[in-house]
Order: sequence, then structure tokens, then C-alpha cells
Amino acid sequence: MYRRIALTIALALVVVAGAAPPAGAQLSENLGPLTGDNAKKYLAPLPDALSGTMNSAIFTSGNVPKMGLNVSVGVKVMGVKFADADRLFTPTDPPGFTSVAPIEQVPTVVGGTDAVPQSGQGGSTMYYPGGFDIGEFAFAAPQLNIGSAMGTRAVIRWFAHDFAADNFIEKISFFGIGAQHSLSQYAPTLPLDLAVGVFYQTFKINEDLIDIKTLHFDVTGSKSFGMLQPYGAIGYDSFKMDVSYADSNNPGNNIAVDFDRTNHIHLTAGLLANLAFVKIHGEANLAATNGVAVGLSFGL
Amino acid sequence: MRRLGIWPQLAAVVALGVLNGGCILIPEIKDRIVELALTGDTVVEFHATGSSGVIDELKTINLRDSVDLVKILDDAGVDVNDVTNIALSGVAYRVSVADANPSKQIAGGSVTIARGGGSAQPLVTSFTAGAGAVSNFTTAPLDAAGVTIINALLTDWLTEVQGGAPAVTTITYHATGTTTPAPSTDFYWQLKITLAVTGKVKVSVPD
Repeated sequence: MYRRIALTIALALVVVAGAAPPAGAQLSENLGPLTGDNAKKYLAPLPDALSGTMNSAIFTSGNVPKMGLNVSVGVKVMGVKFADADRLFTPTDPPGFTSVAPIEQVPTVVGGTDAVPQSGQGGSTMYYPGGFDIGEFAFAAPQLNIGSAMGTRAVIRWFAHDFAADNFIEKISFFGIGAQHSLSQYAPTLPLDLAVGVFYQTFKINEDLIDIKTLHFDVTGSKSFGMLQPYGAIGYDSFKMDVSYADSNNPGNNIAVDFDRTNHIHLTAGLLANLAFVKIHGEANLAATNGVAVGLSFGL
Repeated sequence: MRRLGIWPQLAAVVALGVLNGGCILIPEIKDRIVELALTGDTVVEFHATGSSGVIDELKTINLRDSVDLVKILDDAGVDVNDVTNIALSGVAYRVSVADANPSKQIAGGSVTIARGGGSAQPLVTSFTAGAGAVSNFTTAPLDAAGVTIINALLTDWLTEVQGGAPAVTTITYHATGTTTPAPSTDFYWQLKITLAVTGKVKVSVPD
């Protein structure tokens, strides 16, 4: 069990790249021959998957004590499934190539592993790289909650790791910070605990290869029934992803791909179990991509 | 409170079951054979000059000196024996040094190609281009006869790299056409040939 969780933490954070660290085949190699336009289509399934996972399981209770020490540290794991529609895209002809019918659909980063040939004018052939055949996407994050003062607790997520220099994923850095503020303290007669939260996250792979910034707001409501605490939240996710990779068609040049900022409503329903010093929760999320999340933490 | 006594344990069992159930939250490490698409290109430059208004220039290159196929594969971690396809993916042209006359043009441009001492075949036909300004690469209209020659060369070259017979990789371009308006012409233009290579590599993927 522990081994699986540890493996998840280490690998789910790099699943975005579609390859475990020792992999010889690398996302940048797949991106290299693609124009910026096609790279954007190739990576298109990632933003919604990342938005749906990174912005989940942050706040799992509306109960924020007004004062007092309460600290917990744990791990959150969020997962989504990719739809079949995420697996293919229709490419745009790169400079120097003119396709002829039939126009092929080619794999995205989560699509099939075979490269797809597109016939071109005069008998030329353009090959588009295969994907990594990924059906599911998970994202793990250590999380620290520290509270509380004036009905406010701080929440921090972090992860950083340097892999060996000869690996594609040389460095990962992930950081999130935010706070949750009790609304119940202003309305003690409310039948449930209510809190408003905000959370900002950055996630970088190899510095600039993939650079992600997210902002999440929500209002979380919960009510305790003994050790069990059902909770629900309505929130809003804002997600921005930029990609920069070496252009194999023009050595020495980089291609920058700026994905449009996406914004989504985020609805959550979950259940938190307070088991003395252990807290376990599970939740379902309707967001950019629908998914589930669980968390295990220890503390007061 | 007593009525809820079973629920914490039940919640724990459910949560642990979810964590341990091989669900989407716990990716398994699976091996994938992924087919990469790689590219390489070579650029040859022509100099259109003189007062005749005629382009007629020969250029011979050795493709193996212009495109480091082995390095392309090595950089991507593809073993040469795992290459699955190699082909011409496109030809493009551009003006690299502009003519002093901003209205200068290449008209009726064409390029033939011959491999080694073989017969020349049309590769690029009937292209026109403004030569009065530096331009970006533009897709060239291709002729299947020339494409076939390059594809045969690439196939033989790959066979050689994989341990087969040595391949003839020299190619001679013959560029022809006219420049307008007359009389004097002095500009450089380039022809870029792009190759596509696919090869398979093993990847460990969390899924």
C-alpha cells in the first residue's frame, strides 16, 4: 500500500509528460517535429485534465476554527479519465508540405502509439508522432494545512525533484499556496460550516517545457455527524498552460505554445472521516474534466 | 454518536479500497512501444546572377554530409534497427538574399534531380517567387518522379545504416527558369528538402 502511494506521488507528477523518468522516448522528441499549431493540438487533452486534477481536493471541510492550533499534513491524489475524443486531432499542414485527401486524424499525447502517415502532394509523406496511449490521468500533491487565526487557515502544496540529467524530465517543481476563511463565524446560526477559499498553484517541468499556473476559488460547506463530515463546494478554476520546446526543424530555435486560459465552474461532493489523528476523504468533482480524488492526512 | 460507530471504520475501508483498487488514482506503470516521428533537412543555395534573365544552375550535394541520420536517431533514443519509415516529407523554397530590384521575380522555375550518375527527373515544377525581398520558406509544387528518386535514395541509405550495402547518396539539382524584369539579376534563393523518419522506442507510462 505504502509503496503504491509512494509510486503514485513520484510518477503521477510526471504523468503529464506521458513518460516515467527513465523513459528513453520523450515528449520533447515527439513535439520537436511538430509546428506550434500542431503541438498545441497534440497536447490539447492536458490542460483540462490538469485543471480538473490540480484544482481538486484542496479544501475538504467548511469548518475552520476561529482560533487555535490545527495542523495536518498528507497526500492528495486526483484522477480523471480521458475521453475517446481526446485521442485524435486533425493536423495542420506544416510549411513545405501540402496534404492530399484523405486527411488523416493523428494521435494526441494520450492517443495511440503508432505514428500516422499523411500523404502529400507529389508523393511526399508527412509522419505525425504516436501518443503514449494514456487512458487515465492522476495527479498527486503533498498538502499542509496550518490554522487557525481569525477563522483562517493556510494551505500549502509543494513538490520538487531533480532527476538525472540524461532523463527527459530533468526537474519538476510544483507549489501551491492559499487560504480558507470561515464564513460561519459571522453567522453562527447557519446549519452547516461554511468557508471561502482561494488557492494558487504553479507547476513546471524542465523549467519552461511546460509551465502551468492555476487559480481556484470556492465556497465549501460541511456538516459533522460524529466522525464523518460530508462536504460540498462550488468553485471556479482558472488555468493557464504554456509550452516551450526545441524546434527540430530549426535547430537552436524554440517554439513557444501559449494555450488559451481556461475557466471552469468546479462542483465538489465528498466525505471526510476524522479518525483521531488521521483524516481520510474521498470526493467527486465536476470541473474541466470530471474526476475523483482521495486524500490521507495526519494531524490535529 | 454510538450509532455512527461503524461508519468511520467503514469509511476507512472504502477509502483504502479505492486507493488500493487499481483505480484511476493509482496509475500502474505500463510499457509502451511509441513510434516517434523525426525530421531532418538539408538546404542548398542557388545564386541567380547576370543580365540574361535566365536561371540555369547545377548543384551537387552528398545527402549524408548534409543530414546526420545517425545523430537524429541517437538524439531521440531510437535504435537504427527500430526505424520503421523514412521518406521525403516536403520541399520548400525561399529567397535568402533579395535582388536590388524589389519587383524582381523568378518565373517558370523548376528543379530536376539526379541521383549519382542517373537520369534527371523533375522534382519542383513551375514555381514563381518574388525575389525582391527575403522571404520565408514556401511549399514547392512537387513532381512524383523526383520524389520517387529521393525516396529510393533514403530507403537505400537506411539499409546501409542498418548494415546493408553502401548507398549512393549524392544528388544533383538542376535549377532553371527566368527572372523578370530584365536586365540585371543578383539574388540568392534556397531549396530545402525535409525528410521524415519514424522509429519505435520503449517507454514506461503511468496509466
